[in-house]
Amino acid sequence: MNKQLITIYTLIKMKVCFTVLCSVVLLSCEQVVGFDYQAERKICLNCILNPDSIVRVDLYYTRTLDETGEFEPVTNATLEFFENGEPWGTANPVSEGNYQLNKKPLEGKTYAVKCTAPGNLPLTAETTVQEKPDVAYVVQSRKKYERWQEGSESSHFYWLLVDYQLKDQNGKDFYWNYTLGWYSPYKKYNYGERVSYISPYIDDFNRVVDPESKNGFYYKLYARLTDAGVDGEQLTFTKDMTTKKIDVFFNADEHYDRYMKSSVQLWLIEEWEELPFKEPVQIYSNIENGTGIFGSASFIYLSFRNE
Amino acid sequence: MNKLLYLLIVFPLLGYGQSTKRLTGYVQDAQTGERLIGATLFHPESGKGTTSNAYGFFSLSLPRGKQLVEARFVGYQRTTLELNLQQDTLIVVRLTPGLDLEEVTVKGRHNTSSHPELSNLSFNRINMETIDRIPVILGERDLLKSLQYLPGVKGGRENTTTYNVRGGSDDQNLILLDGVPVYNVSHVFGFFSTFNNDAIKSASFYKGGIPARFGGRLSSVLDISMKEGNMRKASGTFSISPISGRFTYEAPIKRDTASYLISFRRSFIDLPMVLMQKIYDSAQTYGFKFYDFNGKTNWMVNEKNRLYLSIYAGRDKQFHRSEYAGVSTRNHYQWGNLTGVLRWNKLFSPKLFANFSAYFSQYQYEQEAKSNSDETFTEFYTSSKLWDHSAKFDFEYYPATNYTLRFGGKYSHLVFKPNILQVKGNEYNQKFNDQYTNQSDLAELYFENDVQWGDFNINGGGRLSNYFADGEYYLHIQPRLAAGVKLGQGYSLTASYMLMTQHLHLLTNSSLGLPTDLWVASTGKVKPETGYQFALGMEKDFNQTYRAGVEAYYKQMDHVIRFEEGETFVNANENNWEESVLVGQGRAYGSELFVEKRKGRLTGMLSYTLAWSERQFDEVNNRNWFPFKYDRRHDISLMAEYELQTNSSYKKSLSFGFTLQSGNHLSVSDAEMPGIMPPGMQESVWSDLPEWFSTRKTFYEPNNFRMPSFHHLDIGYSSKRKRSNGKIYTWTFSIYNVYNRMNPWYYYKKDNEVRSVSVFPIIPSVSFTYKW
Repeated sequence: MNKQLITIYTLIKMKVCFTVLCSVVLLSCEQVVGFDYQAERKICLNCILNPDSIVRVDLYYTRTLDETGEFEPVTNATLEFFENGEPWGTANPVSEGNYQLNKKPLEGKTYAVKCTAPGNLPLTAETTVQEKPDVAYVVQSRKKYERWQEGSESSHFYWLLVDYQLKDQNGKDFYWNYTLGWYSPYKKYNYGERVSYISPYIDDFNRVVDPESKNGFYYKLYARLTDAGVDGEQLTFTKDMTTKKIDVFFNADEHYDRYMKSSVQLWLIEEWEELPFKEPVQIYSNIENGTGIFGSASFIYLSFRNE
Repeated sequence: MNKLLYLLIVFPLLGYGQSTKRLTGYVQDAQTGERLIGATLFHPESGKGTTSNAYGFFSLSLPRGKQLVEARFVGYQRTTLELNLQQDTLIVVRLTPGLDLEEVTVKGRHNTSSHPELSNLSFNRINMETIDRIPVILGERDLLKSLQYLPGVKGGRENTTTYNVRGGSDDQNLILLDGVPVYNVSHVFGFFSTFNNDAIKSASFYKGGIPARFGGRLSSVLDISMKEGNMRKASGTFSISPISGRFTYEAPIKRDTASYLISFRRSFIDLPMVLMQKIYDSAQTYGFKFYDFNGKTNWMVNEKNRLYLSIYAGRDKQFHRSEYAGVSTRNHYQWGNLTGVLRWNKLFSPKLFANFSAYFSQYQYEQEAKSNSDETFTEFYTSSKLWDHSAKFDFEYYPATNYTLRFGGKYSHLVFKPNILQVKGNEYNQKFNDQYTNQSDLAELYFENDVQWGDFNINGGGRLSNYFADGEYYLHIQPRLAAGVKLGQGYSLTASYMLMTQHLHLLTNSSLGLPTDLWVASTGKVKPETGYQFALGMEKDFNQTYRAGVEAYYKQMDHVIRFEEGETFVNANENNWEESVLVGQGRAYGSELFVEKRKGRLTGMLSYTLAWSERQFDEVNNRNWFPFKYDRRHDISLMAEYELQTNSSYKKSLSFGFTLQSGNHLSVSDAEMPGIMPPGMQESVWSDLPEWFSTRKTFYEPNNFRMPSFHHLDIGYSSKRKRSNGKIYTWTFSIYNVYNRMNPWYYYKKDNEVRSVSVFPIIPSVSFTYKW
């Protein structure tokens, strides 16, 4: 896109904000404001249960926005876990602020955590581990990249058109989808920061209109799919893919889903940090007497290779 | 509920039964023939009285024989009519403008006699002459900004036309122009209202005890009537301010039978811009302009029939064109309202007056941006449209002097095309949101009983609305009740209850009145807003010189909406709007006090409001209540005028406006915590991930920060000179924000610093009006 087009597109994106700011610029007066941040100091507990992984917990104190440096770890906490209401184990500290329980959670079970740290009210939270997404796919067409011969190894890939069938389980499910690209030679990965395909199940909250994208838009960072109105049904859609990529789906519980969504919303507006009138974002938390997140997610990885 | 409705219908019938003659007629300005709304007709012998309705009509039952009737209206000389009533009689009462000799300096800002059941804190009749003299910014008189001096009415951001009433949202205010709802009332991104004062005859404002004949919004009604046109001679007004010029002309088509009025306003903002671009031969052209056109004509077919046709058209346009390196870029926004109404007044009998109306109201916003070169082509187009086509009928039945029955109905067909968006390029043509066009229908019926028993006045009734949209029916019964009693020694007590329903929602998060603010219909997912309000007030009149009052209220609102977190008006509109909003509830309560001085050289009103307003959404703040953005705890307002000189030729006065309010609320991230790295990023070879991926900035409660107190003092000087030939010259000088208070207009973050932007420093201005 040439510079003029970028300029006009920027104008389009800014819409009336640009004009409002132009209108008031002659009169306006700007000054730096010194805020007296008075946020209460809380313990932040972060833990996402994954059936493929042992349990890891991060435990730090929050800080006010004007504090700098590292977050202060919570070092003397006791972390007890419960599975379907029964004691499941206690996490041990592995480094300052990091705790670990050498067990893997199971899909469909409900886990609770109780964190006791001297001088603080006990933190509690609960999550139910979701089933892994049941995704089948069929490669409908495969076409060699037009410049395969000209370029380096990175240009050796195929265009794919892939039909997906996501068999939804009964109950609320919150699917998230993103792609990883193999970073040659297949040992490292590159995170794809945008996803662009059309599906009626996708939540548009992070849709960004982009004249350069194939569909005229893309989803920033992730595509979030919900089963609202189609619970227990087969969700079918088609995506453009390429080889040398991994298509990742994960099924989040309600808490992690809300945490993820509020985080993505925050990142979206962080990109527009000078924009006034944006609706600010409160990061979702389900931690009683503290903050952070205790949620769960179950992943599947679909690999598309050249071979 | 059913018992209440039964009582509301039946008990007024107890007032029937006197054997009297009926005096009916119209009250009008003796010089122009303009019908006067809210004029008082008073029969001293019986102590009974009535007021003229929105068309200047009145009906009064009097004993047979010789009777004296006083006719009064603010700003007009009192007239005493000597009548010999032997049969039902239809008259025209002509009042002459000027001060009443017996009430030399009575210039009350409001005349509430048409609603004795409501306090001055629930109902105001706005004196348009006062608005002409109060200090204003940039010399641009503005009805909507003047309202913000009233207790319980708080402006959104400084100097914008949006306002919040008693803790409600800014979309909960019904604004009617000649009975037609106007959907976007702002010019220049909210800085000026679309109403041209020179074309306005009167305005009534309700924020409590809203009568059943009004519906469709939860919090307030502003009922604006345009002038009708001079029936007796040609006259005109020319006004100029640094922002715009206004021209109004009115004349009879046939004397005392038909007349017309046209009024035009156009901004000057673009003229210096265009001039500079011409001088410097700029490769770019840009500018901004707005205009308003009001037209009205009326024809008295005979003494029982009268027709009115009113039209309003207003538009804003911002444009930008450039040519650079072979690339041509064009970009424009334009938006505006178009309304039209045809009304027919019919007097069926001395006891039955009716009005039939058919109207349309349309709001349209469009933005187009194009970029062309020899090789590339990009076009972006977005538009929003709203059409409202309605027909309604209103009857007023006067079976007895102390009882008026009003009833009527309305049918509306609304079409919404919110944010149709199209992106075109050399190889693509993508359209969004076309599928979200929807239509809705609304049928409403109402009845209203206006009863007076001695010192006790009551207005009770109900409104039934049936709304159909998106395959859903919503039926609502909305009872209304307002009662007032005079306790003696100048004391009066009022109480009111109203249940309101609102079928339309405004999508906005700027509260500026931006053109991108979208009106959308209720749907299956986003239900109509409903709300009720109780108000209880007491007033004391001190020999007609001072008046003081206090009123407490409690308001509950359901199905109120707000944008989902993270939405901005920049990107929210790229989605289906239903996906971008949250539905919740609100509550507001508080009390308002006022002291008004109505006589003497110094007149004015001082008011204080203590208020709370909160919201609750399931998806926000873990379902806990939090303060509303415009929850301003304290609000002190003063509006005063001091007469320097008044005689038949000159009127010179000083005016003052002062506001001191608690600041608005904002959500400001004040806490930071470690975050979980999002899936995919841990494995990635990406380096230099932004800090905000690994940390989270947040706040524990929305709207956790209160902006600094908002206050400013404005001073105005008005000099009005009337020549012997009837021509009037008025100069108005204003200083806005005399002590240069830099009230923050908004905050933003840059380089990890929070910055506040203030827009309105001290601003002197002058405006001039010439009437002939």
